[in-house]
Amino acid sequence: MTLAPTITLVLLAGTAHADPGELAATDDRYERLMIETALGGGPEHETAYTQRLEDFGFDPGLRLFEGVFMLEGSVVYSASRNLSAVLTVGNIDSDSYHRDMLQVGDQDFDEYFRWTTWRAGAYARYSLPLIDGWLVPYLQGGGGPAMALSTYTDEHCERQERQLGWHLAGAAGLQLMPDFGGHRHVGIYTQIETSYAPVLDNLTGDTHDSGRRALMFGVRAGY
Amino acid sequence: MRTRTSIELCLALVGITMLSGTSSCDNDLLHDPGFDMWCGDALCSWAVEYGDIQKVPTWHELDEGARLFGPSTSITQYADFGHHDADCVYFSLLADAGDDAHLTLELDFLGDGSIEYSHAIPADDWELVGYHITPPVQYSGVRFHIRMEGSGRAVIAQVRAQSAAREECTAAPIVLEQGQPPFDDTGF
Repeated sequence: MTLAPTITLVLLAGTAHADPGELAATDDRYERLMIETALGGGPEHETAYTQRLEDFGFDPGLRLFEGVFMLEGSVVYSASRNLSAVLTVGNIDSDSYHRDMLQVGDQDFDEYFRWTTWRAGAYARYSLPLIDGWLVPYLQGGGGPAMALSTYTDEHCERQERQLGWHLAGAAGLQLMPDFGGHRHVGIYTQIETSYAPVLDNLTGDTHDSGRRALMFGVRAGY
Repeated sequence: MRTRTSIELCLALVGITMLSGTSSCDNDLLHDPGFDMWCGDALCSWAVEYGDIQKVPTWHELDEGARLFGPSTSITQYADFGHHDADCVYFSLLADAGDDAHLTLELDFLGDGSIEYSHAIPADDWELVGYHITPPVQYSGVRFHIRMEGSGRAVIAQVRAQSAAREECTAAPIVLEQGQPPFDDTGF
């Protein structure tokens, strides 16, 4: 229709006097299926689990970024202009600790403990298109399974463990969806989210919450 | 995690890993403070004076500790350091002991069989406990004893002694008992 926001605003104002047929056509002009991918991150947080690691002599070491990088991909199916179902897969947590050891004979070796937690979630999203659909703020919430893959490496061996759990997550986001000739096939978005994922356990009864607050930036495309 | 590993690798390659600081083990006075080195069913660096011990997992299957069985078990290690190496010792212990298991630290300076220091160690639910010990003004060699008495369960994950700054030890130095052999300052 137009690429200029100002013109779109005028057209939006004009819909107040449009006939029902035009409104129906406008209301149907949204993409049913979108693919989203986002990159971002959030701050690390200390839990009883990480404190236990430090009690046992493990050290997070030097870090240039006190946070977790996150990458996620989503499939969004819109049942209407306002309601969507979102399926998301991505990592929500990763960290690495090491412990310096002193072997008999003064031969040094280190031990390492690393983990990454992944989630697969199903979320409900409520969107509120503004400015003829150019800007779309939304809220979403839901949950699903989560899995932590941990690796303990000592001088003898490397052991990997997989722990399964669940997560809950909520988010608030804002999409920018340009109008290209009546279609909005591509756009960008940003999202603030918070999650809770008690997945990683140790033998002393501590559970690490792999969830966190995060800020994501992404692109979305669909038809 | 991969990104962080890559960043750290790059830092190492450009030779600035010196920024990472010193290791927490640099001033350790005991061998194998984490009970990680086992020679079969026995600890490599600690000797069992009496009683029985068993290798058991602690917070992770691969991070092992030593379970001390009742009614009475004692493990010991002779540490070859003296007043030139440590005029203040920070002792810490990480253990999980039941109400019916009592742990005690005993220090035998000079390793002559005479216990100059004995202190009960509170150990519960893997809480790290530690305190400073002011050693004698002059000594050479210390034998550490960890004794467990009682019928309860006691698992030790870490016994650490580290040299500390002199000003952190506020107590008076331990006095060696009379009748001990003259101190030989010529070396170990």
